[in-house]
Amino acid sequence: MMAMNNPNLLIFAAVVVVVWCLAIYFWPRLLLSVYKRAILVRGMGDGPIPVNTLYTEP
Amino acid sequence: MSKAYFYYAILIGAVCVYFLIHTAIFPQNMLLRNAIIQGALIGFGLAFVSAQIYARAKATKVNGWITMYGLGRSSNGMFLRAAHAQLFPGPVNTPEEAIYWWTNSDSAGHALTGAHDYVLHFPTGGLPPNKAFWSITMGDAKNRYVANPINLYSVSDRSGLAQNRDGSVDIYIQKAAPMEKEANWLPAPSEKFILWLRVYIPCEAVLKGQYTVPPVAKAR
Repeated sequence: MMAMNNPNLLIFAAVVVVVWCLAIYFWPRLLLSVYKRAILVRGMGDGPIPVNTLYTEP
Repeated sequence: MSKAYFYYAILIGAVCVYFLIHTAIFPQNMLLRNAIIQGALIGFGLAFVSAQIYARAKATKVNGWITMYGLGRSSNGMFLRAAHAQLFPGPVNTPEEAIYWWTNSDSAGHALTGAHDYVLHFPTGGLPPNKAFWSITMGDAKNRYVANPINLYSVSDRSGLAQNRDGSVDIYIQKAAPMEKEANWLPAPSEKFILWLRVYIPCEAVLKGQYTVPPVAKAR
């Protein structure tokens, strides 16, 4: 009923759903790319850290 | 779990709900440009809030240690992956490769801080069962390594930890070195800090959630 009063509400609802799906889908990928860039490419102090070492193995 | 993220999620959720109610009450006011911009912002905000809620529902917290079983599985749906990324944002292995816990609170639920001394007591036979190794890593409130005089950022099964007479192991988490117990010292910063426990190639007890990480008890 409200959508009939203003068709922009349908666009609003569609944008909400699409952006929600995109954000949920890309959130882990976004964080992973940030971590990769920070740790594996730029590194900390001594430079990039090879994959799977990350200072965790003694 | 991070209180800052909790309050942040509440704030964003409240703003989203306000705009949704406002839109429902005054639908005639929405222009096309506003519909797109507000829709995008609210969609993003609701994504963050819903992922936070789902993450907290799926997380397992025992003795202050937080973990999420099933991290890194390729069969996880996109919503579960987003929830995992909320509490474990970095690269993670599959459970068969590694299980992770983190904590920022002691056994009483208070924030871990260098103003106090803590003991992590592993009872006899209570060290994390694994087929590779385990480690406990110290991070400050922003999860960065903590500079310390002995350049030690983690302790593990290969650190030469001294056992008590009954075979139990105490790890001393504090800013100053414990007297005559330096071998089991994990240096802490002055401020709040976070502990990470990683168990690589965990045994079945860990994978099935039967292993319990002991609490970080305040000693002073």
